[in-house]
Amino acid sequence: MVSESLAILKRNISSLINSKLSFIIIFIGPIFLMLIVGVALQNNELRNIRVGIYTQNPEDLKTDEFMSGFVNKIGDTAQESSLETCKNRVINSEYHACVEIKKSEEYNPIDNPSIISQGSIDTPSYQVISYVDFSKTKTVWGIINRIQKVVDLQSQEMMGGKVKEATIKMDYFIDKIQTEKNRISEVKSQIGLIKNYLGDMESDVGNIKSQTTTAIGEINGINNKINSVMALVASIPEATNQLNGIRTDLNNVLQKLNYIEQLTGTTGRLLTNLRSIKSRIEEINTDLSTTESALENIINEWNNLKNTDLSSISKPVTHETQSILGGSTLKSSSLKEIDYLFPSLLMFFIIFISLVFPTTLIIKERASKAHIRNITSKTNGTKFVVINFISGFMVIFLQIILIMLISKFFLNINILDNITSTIILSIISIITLGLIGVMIGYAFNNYEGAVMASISLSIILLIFLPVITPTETLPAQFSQIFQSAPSVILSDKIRMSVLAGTGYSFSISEAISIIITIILTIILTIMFYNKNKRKEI
Amino acid sequence: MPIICIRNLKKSFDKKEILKGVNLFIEKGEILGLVGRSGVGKSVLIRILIGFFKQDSGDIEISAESKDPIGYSMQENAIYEYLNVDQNLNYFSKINKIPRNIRKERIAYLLKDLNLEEYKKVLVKNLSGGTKKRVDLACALLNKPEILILDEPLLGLDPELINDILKIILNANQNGTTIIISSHQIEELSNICSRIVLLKNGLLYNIKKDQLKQVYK
Repeated sequence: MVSESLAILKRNISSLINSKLSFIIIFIGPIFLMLIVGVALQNNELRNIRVGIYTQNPEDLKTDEFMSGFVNKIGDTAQESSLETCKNRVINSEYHACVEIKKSEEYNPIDNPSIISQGSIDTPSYQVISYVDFSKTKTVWGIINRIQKVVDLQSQEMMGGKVKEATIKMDYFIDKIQTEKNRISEVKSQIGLIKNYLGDMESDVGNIKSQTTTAIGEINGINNKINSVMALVASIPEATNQLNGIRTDLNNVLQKLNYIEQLTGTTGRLLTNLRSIKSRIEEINTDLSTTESALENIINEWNNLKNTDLSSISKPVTHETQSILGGSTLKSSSLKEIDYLFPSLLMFFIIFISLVFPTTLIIKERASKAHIRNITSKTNGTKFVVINFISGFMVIFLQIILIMLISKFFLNINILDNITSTIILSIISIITLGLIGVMIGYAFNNYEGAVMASISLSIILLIFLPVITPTETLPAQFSQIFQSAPSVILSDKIRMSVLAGTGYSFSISEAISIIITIILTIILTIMFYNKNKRKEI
Repeated sequence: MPIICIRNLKKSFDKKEILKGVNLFIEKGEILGLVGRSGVGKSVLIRILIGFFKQDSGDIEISAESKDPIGYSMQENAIYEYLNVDQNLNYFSKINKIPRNIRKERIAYLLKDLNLEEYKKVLVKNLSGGTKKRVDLACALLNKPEILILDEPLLGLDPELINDILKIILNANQNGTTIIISSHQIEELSNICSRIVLLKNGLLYNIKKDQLKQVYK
């Protein structure tokens, strides 16, 4: 029992070891895969984020404290003169995001030059709008987070300025109120003085009243005496006495009148006092008017301050995120999750099937017993390679068309809007990757080795597609390699063709990368074909 | 003048010399039997003759009238299992550039001659071993070869099927085709071959028919 089991085990292991390529693929392949994926995915932090910045007044990017701070903190930025260009560069993957900064000067509750001259920061508010590509599902949130972090940081700094400004403005109100308080104290002292003046006037008026009463009594006495004189005129001796009496009385009246004369002087003081009172009252009136106006001012300013959006103090910079596709292209705002995901799914399919199917086709052909007749036939070997590739291409292309139709009519994905460009890009993808599949088919001399190699390669390419592993998260060297990988370039192009209606134009570096891959693959395929065509599988 | 002249043919695999200087001259119309123990290099020699392998050194000279004088049938049928008989014949005639006007007629003739008409539209994978061998032979005969090379054509066939195949071989020979046949079926070889050669230690030896049994002792 044990010996049979061991024999089977030994047979399996020996078969494996004796097939060198299978051995390498099975043992070394996964280790290599783990290493490459492990090294590449050791860190998923976004690197090399490039942001386009647009603002209405480009000078602000240098002079404005917030904007220059934002630009410095965000990292790799480029100034754009138009928002549309900025957004298009995100569509073309030149930027990871386009940031529009809008500056608002509306917040200015106190129009007081002295405050401004004191160094009060009458900071404006800002609106930051990030235009991002939501189809880059793995990076988009990282990019938004990065921008949000910088906005928060800048906002926090600005909030300090705003609070300082508010404190200065409060101090200004307190100063003003203190001034009005002092003015009221002054009014109070003026009123004290008026009170004293009125006391004096009261005593003066009392004196006048009593002196006048006395004078009136005495004049009445004179009157009586004159009457008596009149009666005594007839008996003259006694008239002399009476006249002496009148003289005395008249002296008394004179004294009284003198006093009244003195009192007349007092009336002058009374008048002066009244004038003083009038003047004080006028001063008080002026002070009260000033105070009233000052208080009204304070109330108005306070109301202004009260009406100020408090969020502009606690959050002087607002940040919102918008899709880059909003209203700028063929696509409307009705893009769904599946729309964003579909191009990547399409590329998954193209990569997997374009690599695995031609490999399987070729290796099956080579493993076929009938293959010997192909080799010894009159038909040129290159024709077999080319026709095998074309056969694979046709099958894959039909599958792609089928998938597109299903997507349109069953999943309601707007694939038909830019179908020409999408199909051309799909064809380029199938050709590039299909040739690699054909090359693998001719490179290996055993079925499992070839199939495993093409599956492994497709897995690597799938793993390193931006939708799964954004190149921004890769170490620098890996990032450079995968950024110029045809699968990544074509994946981006197909994505933007489906989502943004972009064309199928390539940059020179992208075209070179794809052309070199194709040429290199063709050379290797011919090399492997000639080397292995007479080897039986 | 021999139709095939092989001089000092050498072939090695992985530093192991399989053919060490084979010399062979085959006359037109001959049925040559090629025998030898398994693994001595019979199939290698045949594959060199049909152009699948290239010799390391030595010459092969073929004096034939047509440009495509060789037809062959291998030990394992070199036909597509997932094509039907007609499709196989059409495919191989096309890649061998048999002119269209001849192709149809030739296929019809072979289907009739090899009793394959009723299987014309049947997938090869669904045919019996004997029928598959006949389809393979039909493919070998598509170009009206002047030389027919057969590697173990009788392997795994029952006596009745062996007779059928032998009839086809003899029929082709009667039509002027030179036959080279490799087989371990010494009795059948004795019956049909005009000459037998033994491949041993990388060299060829002419042997008499009565010496055949000695080869496998």
